Amino acid sequence: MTSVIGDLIKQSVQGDRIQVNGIKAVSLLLIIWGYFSVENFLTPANLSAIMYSVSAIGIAAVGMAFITLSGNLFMLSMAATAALSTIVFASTLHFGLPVALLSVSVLGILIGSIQGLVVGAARVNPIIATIAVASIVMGIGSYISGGMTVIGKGDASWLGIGKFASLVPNQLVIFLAFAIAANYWVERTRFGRELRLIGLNPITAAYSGIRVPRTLVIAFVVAGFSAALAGGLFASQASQGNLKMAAGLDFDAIAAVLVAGISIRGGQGKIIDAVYGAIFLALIGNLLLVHGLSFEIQLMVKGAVVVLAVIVAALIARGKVR
Amino acid sequence: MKPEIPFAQKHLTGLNKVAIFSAWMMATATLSVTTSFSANAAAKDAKVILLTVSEECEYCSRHLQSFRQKAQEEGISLKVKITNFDPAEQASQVDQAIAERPDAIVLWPADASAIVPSLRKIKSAGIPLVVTNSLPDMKYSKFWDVYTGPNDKASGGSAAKAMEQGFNEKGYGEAGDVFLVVGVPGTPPQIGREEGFKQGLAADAPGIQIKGAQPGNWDQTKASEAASALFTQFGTKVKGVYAQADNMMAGVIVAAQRAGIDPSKLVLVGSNCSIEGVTAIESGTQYATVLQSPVQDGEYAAQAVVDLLNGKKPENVRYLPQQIITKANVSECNAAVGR
Repeated sequence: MTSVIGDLIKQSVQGDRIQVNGIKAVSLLLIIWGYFSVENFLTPANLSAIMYSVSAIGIAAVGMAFITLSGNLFMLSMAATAALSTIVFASTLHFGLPVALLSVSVLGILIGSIQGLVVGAARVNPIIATIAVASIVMGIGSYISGGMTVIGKGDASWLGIGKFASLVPNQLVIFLAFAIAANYWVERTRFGRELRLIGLNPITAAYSGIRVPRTLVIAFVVAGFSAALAGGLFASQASQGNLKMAAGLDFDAIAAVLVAGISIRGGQGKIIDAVYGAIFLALIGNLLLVHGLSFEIQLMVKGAVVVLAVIVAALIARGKVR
Repeated sequence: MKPEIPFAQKHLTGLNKVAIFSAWMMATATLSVTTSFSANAAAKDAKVILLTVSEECEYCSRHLQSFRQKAQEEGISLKVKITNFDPAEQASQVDQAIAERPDAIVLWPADASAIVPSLRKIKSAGIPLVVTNSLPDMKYSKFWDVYTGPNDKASGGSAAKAMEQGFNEKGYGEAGDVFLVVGVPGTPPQIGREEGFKQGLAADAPGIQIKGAQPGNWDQTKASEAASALFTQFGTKVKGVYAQADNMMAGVIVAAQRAGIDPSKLVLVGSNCSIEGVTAIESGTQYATVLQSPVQDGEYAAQAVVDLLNGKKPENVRYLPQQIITKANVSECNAAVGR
């Protein structure tokens, strides 16, 4: 029985690799194209610009991947959580950067666990639950900040502009470490296998004695934490927080997850795929910008890429069913 | 069963109809007299409805605060309706507001074009109207009594002057490359400020060339991405940046630092005098901003409604002053940032 399930997982995972491998190949082509078409594309300055633009969104995408993988579609409270955490980050920065980061982490875990309980234990529709929580979180943010920008009294430049070995932004190091750890956790532990089985079929999973509520609460905690951490990264840019800061984070994280081929139906794909998705989107975004294309064109191309990726995913899924 | 004919219909002869019609006419006339009387009543205890856009943006929130305070001082009984920049919701809020028959309405359009039918409705309901912050097309100016708010074109013009002044002060002379980080494309401040900036440079400092522009969507993170790309495109040739809001300029400064460019060497001109700009000017990373105080913006709107209610006839358009702010006079921003 276990080997049957094991084979099933293996098969679905292998079938699912087509899209993410495609994304990797296209990313490589984009880099080559960028090198030949833009004068300063591979300069350290532009590469670090790409790294910065991928870090916060990538962290959120990794968190989002937990939710999608668990079969609960998306967490639509990420932007709100990140926005509130920019305010918490700026308000606690005078205690030092570690305290500020710890505060946003606690905040994210708290918001995540509430949603985990509502969705995992009470089985409320994840879209409705997370939109509702987003609204509550924004309300709290408005109440605390009065809509104002909070200026942090402290130094966040290690996180905002600091570089590891004066080469790679610290933000990127944090992002990659988080992504690799998360991927290892899902691929190699009982929690990860349970998460994937719940995503594939929650009813069977529950009957098979899998700890459904516990696993879902953990998934939402990770997602909440990652949203808050992304908020911390945004806030560290200029040691400031306000509620407008993380707008669009939900869409960006969802786009990264979807283009990487993590199945919207749950259970299929790897956490690390979200990283490739985020890198791919950051590359496209950067190329459109450095080519000086107008905003309308940028929007259309980005939207078209997401639609195309979803169509490809649907075609692959149909092929698998046959 | 025989359907019963209503009493009124049964007894309504031609003569009665005339009588009822004239009674109705008289009632309407009396009603309109009362309405116009209450509209001309003094501001004290007047019922005013403010329809505004959001509490979640700093500017909007300060605008609301200062309006509220001024209204309170004048003894106005104020009701506030907020929409999250949603033109459809605002249209229905306008309908509700009209139904409440206030003595005046103050309106911050969520969308300066979409609001026009609502303006027409308020006008035909005979309710005095102050439009604040976002100026609809002037060809509809007959629908409102007063517009108060920023003159975005003049703001862009002031930014161009600040850029020219900064080029001189930082020793770049009269020529060099700059780029723009603009707000959400199509919004009135984005259009007005860009136009004013371009015209200002063309007239007074034709040597300063605008090499590129990208939207930062009034958002720090987006602005930092846009500026990173523009620094990549134009590298060290860039001598100055005009960001249409100070929070976007904060993103430009981050982008410059990340690209290894010293922001204090550049002529960075922002806009609005928001807290981000004020701190950056004080620390020397940002050269200038253009004052547009949300506090004044709110006060101007409140003053206009007071004038209207007190029976004065204010001019159709009242612009805020758009002063250039540098390190030398940054204290002028204190009120705007609530210090």
